Amino acid sequence: MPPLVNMDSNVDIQYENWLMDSISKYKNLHMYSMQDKVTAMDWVDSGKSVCVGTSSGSKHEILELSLPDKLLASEEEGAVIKGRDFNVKNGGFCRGEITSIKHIPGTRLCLVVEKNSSTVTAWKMGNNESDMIQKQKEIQGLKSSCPRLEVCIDGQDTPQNFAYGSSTNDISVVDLATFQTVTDSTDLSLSQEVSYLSYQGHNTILCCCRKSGDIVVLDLRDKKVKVTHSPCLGRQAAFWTAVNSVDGCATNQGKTLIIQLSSEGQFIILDPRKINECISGATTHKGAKTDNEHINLEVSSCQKFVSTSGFDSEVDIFCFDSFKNSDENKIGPVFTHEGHVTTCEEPIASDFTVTSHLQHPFQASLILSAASDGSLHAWEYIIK
Amino acid sequence: MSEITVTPLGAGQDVGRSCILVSIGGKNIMFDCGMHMGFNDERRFPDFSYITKEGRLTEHLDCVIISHFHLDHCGALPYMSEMVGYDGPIYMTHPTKAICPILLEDYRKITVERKGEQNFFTSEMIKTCMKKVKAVNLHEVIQVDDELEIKPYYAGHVLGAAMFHIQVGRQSLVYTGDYNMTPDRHLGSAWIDKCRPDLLISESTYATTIRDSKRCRERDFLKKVHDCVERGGKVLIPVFALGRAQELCILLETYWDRMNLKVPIYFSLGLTEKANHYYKLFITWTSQKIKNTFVQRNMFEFKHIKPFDRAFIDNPGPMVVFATPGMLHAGLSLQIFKKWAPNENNMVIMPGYCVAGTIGHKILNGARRLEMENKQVLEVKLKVEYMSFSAHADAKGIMQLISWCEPRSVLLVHGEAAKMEFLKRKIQQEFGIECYMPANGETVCIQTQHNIPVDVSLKLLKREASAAGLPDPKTPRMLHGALVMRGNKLQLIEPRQALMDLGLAEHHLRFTSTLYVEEEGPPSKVAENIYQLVKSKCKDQPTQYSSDGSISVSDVLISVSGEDDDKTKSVLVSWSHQDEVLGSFLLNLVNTELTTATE
Repeated sequence: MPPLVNMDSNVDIQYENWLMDSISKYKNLHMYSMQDKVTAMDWVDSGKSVCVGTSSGSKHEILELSLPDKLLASEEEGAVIKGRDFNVKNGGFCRGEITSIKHIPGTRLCLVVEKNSSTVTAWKMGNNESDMIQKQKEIQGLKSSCPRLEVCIDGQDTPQNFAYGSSTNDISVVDLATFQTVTDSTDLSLSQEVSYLSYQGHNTILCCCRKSGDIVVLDLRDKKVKVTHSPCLGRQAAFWTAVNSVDGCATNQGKTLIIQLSSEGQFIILDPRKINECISGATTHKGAKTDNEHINLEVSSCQKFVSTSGFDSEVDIFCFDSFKNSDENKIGPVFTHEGHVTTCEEPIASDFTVTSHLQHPFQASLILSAASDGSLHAWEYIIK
Repeated sequence: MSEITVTPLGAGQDVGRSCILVSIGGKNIMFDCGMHMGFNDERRFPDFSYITKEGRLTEHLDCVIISHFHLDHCGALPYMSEMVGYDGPIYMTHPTKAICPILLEDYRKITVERKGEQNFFTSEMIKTCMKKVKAVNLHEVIQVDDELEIKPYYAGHVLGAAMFHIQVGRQSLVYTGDYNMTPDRHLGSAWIDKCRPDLLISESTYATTIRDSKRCRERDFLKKVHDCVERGGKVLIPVFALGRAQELCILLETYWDRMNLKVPIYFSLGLTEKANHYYKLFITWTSQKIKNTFVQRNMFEFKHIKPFDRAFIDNPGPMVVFATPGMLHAGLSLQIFKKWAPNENNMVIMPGYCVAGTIGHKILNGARRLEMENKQVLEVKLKVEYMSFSAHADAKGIMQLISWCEPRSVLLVHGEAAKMEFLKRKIQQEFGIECYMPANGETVCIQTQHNIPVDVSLKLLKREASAAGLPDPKTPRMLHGALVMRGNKLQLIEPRQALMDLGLAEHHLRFTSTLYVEEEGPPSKVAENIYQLVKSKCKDQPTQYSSDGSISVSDVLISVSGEDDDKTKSVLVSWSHQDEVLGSFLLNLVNTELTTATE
């Protein structure tokens, strides 16, 4: 006889309990099981679909998935909504595990960085005739080997440039129309590994240094790159990452802030105009990671919440209002998504972690999160 | 090389008309015989004229196999067997055989009695058709005839759904029908041996889909029901008696218990008896959970769910009602719907597909004003929700099944081939096998290569061993013999033996060719030259130069003749039929290496 699952085990009861409780905690909750784990993702087409990189360890893919109608339609419209599944719109095969994907707004192109690779590749997603995602261009980095490349695209509706690099003195700015390097930061004497790059307007690039947390600003107006170096007091010795509060948000309602997060769970909020002054901060219960490889920081489109993942199997949501300008500000999350570990059907691996998560550019409480077991969850939380 | 040919007459999609013709090892098999529920004309049924323009199908088909009871897989069966004409065997599992006629009759009623269509099969035809059905058990090997063998495997999907492994001689294939790779409350997941078929024909309804988990769908269902009753609304769930109603009842019962809800839940009378009957009958086909529950208690003795009485329709306050039929085309579910539709607090949850023309189909397509009998108009203000609980394999499931059974090639039955290039390449890359996606009416030929076992006579082997030593298992070696067929077996024996057995005399065939070469001196000198040439070029052939001036290379003979003072010598090359390759080579060698003269 076919093997049948005994649904009465403790794990199942725990799963069942969590699922029943989720009815009051989540507005929407959808759980998907991918063939391989998702290693990176980015929104495409204003959040109507998502581009993901997946890896089994030996084979690596890039997929464009369309979001289920149910997540995007507003309930008031009254129409019967049937779609609750992701659809694989397009797919392609890559040589290495994807560590970063950035969709270029207004185009069918994505910029991709693969693990241990010194190149950025541009991939073209399929159209009506084919569902293949094909590599279009390969842009060689300034160094032949680098720990991990970071990429950012200038924040305009029709972006003209993108920047990439692994440390403060190997950042190149590339023209998107020609894929030619416009300028670079090789003249800089300061060499620090970066964990995050972001455009501040058209001519400024902001870098977060991985090991010090320092913010370095590159001014592109002159051909020669200028630098503002900001050692900020009070930072823990840890690995750091950062996010710009307007990153990925469709509407820029509030003021721009830089939110930094350390692998020890410390938050620091900066004003990009005065980067050596900490506006507020907080410490959380998270931390003690030896690396920040998966640590992911995202801001909700309403700019009231910030979400973190990569410390463990959870995605935590913190409220901006809880950040204060005091040394002893311990805060807890306003919402925690525990679904990845609760619903994991296989024995939980010691390195089980949430590998990536994304906040929707329009729907403030809609989050996509993926874990190392191949699970992909789409959920809308309720904060009471 | 032999081949398997596959022609889909109609397939894929949730509501398509699955019907796939396969020729394997000289046998013709029809997999599924479904109807398309979106059409009312001849497109409803597969185009059987593809098989034969006139006459019955019996002589063209060796058997028909039905994977499960859904109408898109069995709906055209009475039409095919009784109206077109087929008297051969029809195979399906026991639960499918039990449930299939009920569904066919239901559908016939909607079509003929409600929509008034003509030219449709009758109740009598359904009965006659079902008499041709042979029920099969899981993992039971059924010998259709001397050569054709079929074996069903568990497919999940619905009660009684099966995948079929077909074997004719050394050729084999697996047809999946619809299957499900994740277990649920109600059914287990599909399972198959590592049977390594030449071809796997898989459904691909959800091949480009990543499906939301079953539990999330259940969670959503509970949330919707709970939200509605909390607002004081009434929830109507139209169900098919043998579908997923039982599963939903168990789910609601558990939830009511947990949340300590007091709102009444009702189900229509008769539903429980029918369900109990079939589930008891086919308990081995359900999931472990249901089996366990059955041992402890009757799973349909619910604490919260009570039988419904028509008088309850107008009761005030919230309630939840499960009522048949599932498509709101008649009966109690329609009666309740009419009463509750005008109130916006109420809700109807459609848990499955609805046939075109039914109220269920209309409201799922957003109709808010319905014209009923007597030209009355019904305002639909209640909330309409759709919840599909259908269990299909998605891309991950298809890949998993391929890795389990390790086929030599895969054929996906589906229409949208252009949008499935990625999946096709993925299958090719991951498993190194070919993937086909034929359109309806398009035939795919799959070449199969098979080793044919041959018995070799001991005499022949001994002779071979004494002549050339024992064989090295890593290098292939040529073995000459005569291939004879005795009974059903092939044998390789000594040619002499074969001739003797057949009473034939042996004939020898030799080819001879004479070349003229321009060489001075005695013929023996020319022969000597040729001998040296041959020796250097054919080092591994036994070469002899005999005293009469002729050279023998293996069995090829070369002799030179002519007068000493004659400028031209004739070179004769002669070889037997068996030495064709060597003979031609030597002839060519002499021809190119020596200066040949024109006569």
